[in-house]
Amino acid sequence: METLIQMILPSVVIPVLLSALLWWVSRFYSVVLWLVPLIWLPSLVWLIGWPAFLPAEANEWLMWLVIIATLINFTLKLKPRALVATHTLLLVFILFAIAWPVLKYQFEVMMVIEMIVVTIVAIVLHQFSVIGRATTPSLSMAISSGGMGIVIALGGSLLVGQLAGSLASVLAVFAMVEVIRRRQQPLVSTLNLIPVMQIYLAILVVARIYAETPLGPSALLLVSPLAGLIPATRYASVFSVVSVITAISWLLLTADSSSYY
Amino acid sequence: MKNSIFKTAFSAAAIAITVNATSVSAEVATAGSYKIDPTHTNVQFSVSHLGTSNLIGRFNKVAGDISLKSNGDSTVEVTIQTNSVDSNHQKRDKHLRSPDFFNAKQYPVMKFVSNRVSHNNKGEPVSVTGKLSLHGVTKNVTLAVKPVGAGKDPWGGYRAGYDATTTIKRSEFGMNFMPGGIGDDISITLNIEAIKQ
Repeated sequence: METLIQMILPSVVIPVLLSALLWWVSRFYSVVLWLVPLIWLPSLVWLIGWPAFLPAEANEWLMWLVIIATLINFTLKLKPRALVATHTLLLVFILFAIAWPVLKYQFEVMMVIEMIVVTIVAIVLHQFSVIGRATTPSLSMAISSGGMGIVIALGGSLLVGQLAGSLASVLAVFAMVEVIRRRQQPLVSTLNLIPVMQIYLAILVVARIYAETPLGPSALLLVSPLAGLIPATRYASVFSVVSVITAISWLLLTADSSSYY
Repeated sequence: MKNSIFKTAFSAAAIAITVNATSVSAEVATAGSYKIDPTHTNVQFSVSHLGTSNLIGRFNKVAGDISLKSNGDSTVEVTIQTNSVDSNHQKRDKHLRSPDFFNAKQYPVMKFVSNRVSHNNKGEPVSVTGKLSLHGVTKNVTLAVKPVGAGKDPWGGYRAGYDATTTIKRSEFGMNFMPGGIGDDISITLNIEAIKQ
């Protein structure tokens, strides 16, 4: 029971409460919506501990990613092209830092190819975030992150799965608002969510490199935010749901389903 | 029938002669450099599961060197591949290799390097203190050592065997995941056989 509580508190309860609080404050001060990615930090620190100043492990880079990406959005008033370039450079640096402990003694071509694919997806996501035509971005990212949490937890690492799950919980309240307020502009814009997208992609890379998450389901998880954020339709989230369900089903059908906990 | 009896008698005699000529006894191992024989060495660990039972696991890839010196300046170095963890369940092994526990991609080996070996009055090692590097953390660890035997093997070599035990806290090595379900104390047993070089 104690173990279950320790798992649910950081990955569901705390991020949902914080996002509810931020949503309530945003009714009076909409500027706080820029801080949505930062409310994921308490869950991160709870799950992996306080990261070292110079991160030693892949997960520890996630803290710097979310802080710097949010600061770029909040403080630098960059033109669209410069914004896309700055966020992409930041993500490439973090992805390289995440992969470096493995690459330095074992150069894997496949790993480099996968990181290039993730970078291309990131550029596309950044580009469409700047255009901002997605109608339910929080819902799509919540579905993608939740699905990724399940896939990673089932496929190799409960810890990294919890990190992804807590990212979904951070967006849960805003996703519900998007569902309830149909035909209105989303509360949290795609621009606000760029740091969340970057964390999403970075967690996926951590899972692939360090937790041996299978390639097929991982590829579908890469498609999921694209499917949910690019089409300018209210039902884009359905594409994310399809990608995520396919990824989970793929894993369940191909992986060892025996329990050992 | 006669032929068969002859064969059996011959085989029994051959085995008796071989065992007599090469038996490894409880003699004190002679000084020299030894290499750990990975095929006759086990590294086992035991950890509490939910506080109800102890799970036993092992590492299948181990290597190392022992330098036995009569003046007491013996040294031991053991390297274990963390991705060779084997808990008798493939899916659990994958989980143990993940960032939740050993993070085997980032920390592919755990290494023990001795800095002091204590001997009894017969000259046998009884404890080894040294630095254990695991999961990116290095800490001092002391192993209690029990000499098992030493002597010539059937192939003209010379072997020595030791059992070494210690208990570490995984939290001290930055392995904090699932503190409620999986115990903090990890009992480690090394059953080492080493061949003199």
